[in-house]
Amino acid sequence: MSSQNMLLEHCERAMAAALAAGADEAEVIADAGRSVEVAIQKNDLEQVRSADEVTYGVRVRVGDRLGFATGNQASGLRALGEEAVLIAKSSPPEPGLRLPKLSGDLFAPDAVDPELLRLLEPEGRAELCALATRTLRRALAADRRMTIDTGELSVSELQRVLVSSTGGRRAWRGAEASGGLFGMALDGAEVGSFAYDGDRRRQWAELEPALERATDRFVRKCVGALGGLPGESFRGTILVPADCVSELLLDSLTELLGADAVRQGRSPLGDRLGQAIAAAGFSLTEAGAGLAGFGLAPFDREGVERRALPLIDDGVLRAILFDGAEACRSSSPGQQSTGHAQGGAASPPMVGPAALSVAAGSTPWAELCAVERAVLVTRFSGTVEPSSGDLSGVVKGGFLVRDGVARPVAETTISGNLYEALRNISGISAERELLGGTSLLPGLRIEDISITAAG
Amino acid sequence: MTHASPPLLALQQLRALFKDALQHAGSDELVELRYHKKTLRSVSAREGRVERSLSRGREGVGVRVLAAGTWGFASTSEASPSALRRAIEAARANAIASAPYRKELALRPPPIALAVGDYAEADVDEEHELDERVALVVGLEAAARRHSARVRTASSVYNELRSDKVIVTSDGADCSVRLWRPELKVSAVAEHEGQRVSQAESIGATGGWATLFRERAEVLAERAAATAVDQLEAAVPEGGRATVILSPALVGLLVHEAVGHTVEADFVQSGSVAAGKLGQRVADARVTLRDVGHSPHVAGAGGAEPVDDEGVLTQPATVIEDGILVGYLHNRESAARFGVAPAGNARAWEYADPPIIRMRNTMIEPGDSDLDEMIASTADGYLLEGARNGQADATGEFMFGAARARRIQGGKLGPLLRGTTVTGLAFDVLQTVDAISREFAWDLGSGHCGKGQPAKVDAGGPWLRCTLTIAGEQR
Repeated sequence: MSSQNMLLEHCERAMAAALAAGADEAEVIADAGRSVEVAIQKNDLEQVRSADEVTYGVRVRVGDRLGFATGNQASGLRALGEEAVLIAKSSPPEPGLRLPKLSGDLFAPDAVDPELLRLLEPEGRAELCALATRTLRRALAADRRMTIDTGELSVSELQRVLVSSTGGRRAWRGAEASGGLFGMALDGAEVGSFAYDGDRRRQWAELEPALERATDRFVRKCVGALGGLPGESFRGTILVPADCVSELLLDSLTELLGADAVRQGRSPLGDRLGQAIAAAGFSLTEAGAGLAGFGLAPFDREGVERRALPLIDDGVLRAILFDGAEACRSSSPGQQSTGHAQGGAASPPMVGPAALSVAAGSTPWAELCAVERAVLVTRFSGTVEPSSGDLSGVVKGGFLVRDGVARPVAETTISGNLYEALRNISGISAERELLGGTSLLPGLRIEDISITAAG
Repeated sequence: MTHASPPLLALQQLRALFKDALQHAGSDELVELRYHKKTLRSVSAREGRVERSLSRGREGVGVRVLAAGTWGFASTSEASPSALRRAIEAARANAIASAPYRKELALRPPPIALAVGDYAEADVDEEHELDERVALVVGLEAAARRHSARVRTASSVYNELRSDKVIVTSDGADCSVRLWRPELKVSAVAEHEGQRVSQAESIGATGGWATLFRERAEVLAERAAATAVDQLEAAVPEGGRATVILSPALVGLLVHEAVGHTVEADFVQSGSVAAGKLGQRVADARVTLRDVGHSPHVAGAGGAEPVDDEGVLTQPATVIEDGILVGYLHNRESAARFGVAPAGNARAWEYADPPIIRMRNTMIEPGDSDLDEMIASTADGYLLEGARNGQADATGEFMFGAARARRIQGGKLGPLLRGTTVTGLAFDVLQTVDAISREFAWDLGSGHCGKGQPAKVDAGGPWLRCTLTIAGEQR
């Protein structure tokens, strides 16, 4: 693993090359990563894979022009800086563009469990294989109809260093362990719908219990999807459990809350600040430097400090996410980055959230599900068109709920509109789930959705 | 330039270096060394200026070792003798560490004639300066905005992926492979009375600009803008089962998502819906479906590769012949298990990715109908065009988004409707096919397939009439 000092020296060398080549400002980021992954396939352990790589990204401003180049060869750092300048010089100007001002150095504390570092060494391979095998066996033993298509167990470490000619250096190191299974249940000639579940943790000791819970959820989803029949066509209620909220609503919504989407006209939400865009009781917060138990680097992709930002408060839109470039492009005088530049060294910064939480409601999930008729959407495979909000797709592994009794359905689609769905949230569960370390979400009940069953 | 393609001489020197490194491999082991340098140059435009311009290069060596009855994989970003030795040792150690936990040992693939020599797809040395690329995207973005006052914003992005590989294995592969894949996308957002609709059009190819721009680039901008504007006042289709005529792009999504994934041999072994169906009728007799490493019917398919990442020379893989399921897609190991010859479907995205079973260019062979006749003979249905995203399930149930829909009644096309999602069970839907056109197009060349790692693929076919379910409105 590359040392922090060596990465700082590399970044400063690339920055000096960029400035010498004509850059007015330069920012260089280095991501040194190493990982070990145990892959599962076809109900068996498939392969162990290890990797070790440093990626460099150089962003420069020449006058009112930006350029970016990235590569993974330390021997090519000078050329990388020069190439970023060449790209900037060949690009038309955009008045007012500047790199974010960084004040001073921030060398943040490591988020590294020493146990994870031990597992990254060759002598840790057997322990990882053993846990992958226990996870696989747990799923297969839970129900004889289970089959695992693929799965993985991995440990990784990332050392990130960033230097900017605007006045600061940043460094942070983190490690994590994660795992998951992807597969389905088979019953005679019947093939059930795919499901996936998994988790990730910063502490090795927390991973196996988390994977056991994820594996049990995974088995329930796979087996529960067997026996699905076409349901009923109607316009009415859908029930969205916590682990489906992102793919149905939040992934699109958070894209629309980016200043880039607003400026580009893809999002109508820029004009709605201070207005109700969701049902009362729905509150969404970007969690800044991470949720409890899964801390993130305290600075974003541009080195700007991360902080929590309420986006929607009791249904009212309160904020839009900005990175440095979008702050420069904003028509609001004095707009600053909100610390929401995402990405790694292999690409220029992009606006987006790093971690999200939706406030819990007051109704137990079981009570939200006690309705006359609804479709429980356990997985959504479809499209959300951001500008219009048109939303349509297939319900996977879903259930038709009638008077509180659920039966699996197949070949069932839903259709509606994202913006209307936000306003039509009629219930938020009291329970929330931490998903993948970066989302803390409740389940939702949503009204007035078109449900179409085949046949 | 940092990211210039390595000259052929350098690739040949790497072949020699790799052969030296393999001298130390054990005789009972299979060792694969794959150097891969991938370069992306991308420029995008919005509001009359360049939004983003970047260059990305990534290179290194992926090492796969079959030892102790299992595979190990390691990668290094350095192509030196010492780094190669360390990576081979790491891959070997990874294999040995996992062997005790593996229930069924991996088979050593039987010997076959692997690729030897220097391979390249067409136009691999074509170059376009940044000024030319900037002019292209700025011009197209402006063309989309000019289409109508209702176009609020537009954007365009041009990417070119250059790929240079060297593959040397201990059982005979010794080759270099060079590819160049340009792609272009134009998007438009239209607005009227508070309603917004966005639309995108894209193309991609393996080869130069003459291949990429089979039709004028401006046509893409005009089509994206016109569709966005026209859809502002379009109605949502009614949900339910319907007769549809699918465009070549949507046929591509159907064969890739709904059939292609279910016949990948790794998934077949896990129990996909295609398992155990070899020799059975799964489609109407008009349907013949292949996955190919080249580009039949029309040049430039975006997933073309002369050699796969195990060093196998690519061959057509016939999946459905006259409606009968006749084959799966294989890597060397699964081909040996099924007792067939591999056709070159083992692909890796970048050097640090191990090769896995993937599609390349997937298609239905053209038929003998004419699109106009197909429309005229449809009493009640929809014409669906323009691919959005798509996914398939273990059950064979698929969904994909159609960007544009038009109702057909009494053999006549009606007004434009909003885009929608369609779904069905793959083999059931293919049994309902009752007309296939002579016209053929590759039309997913700007797309990527995701299966743990991305892959550049293409898909397409003729216009095809079948029956499936539309996710529309319940009134």
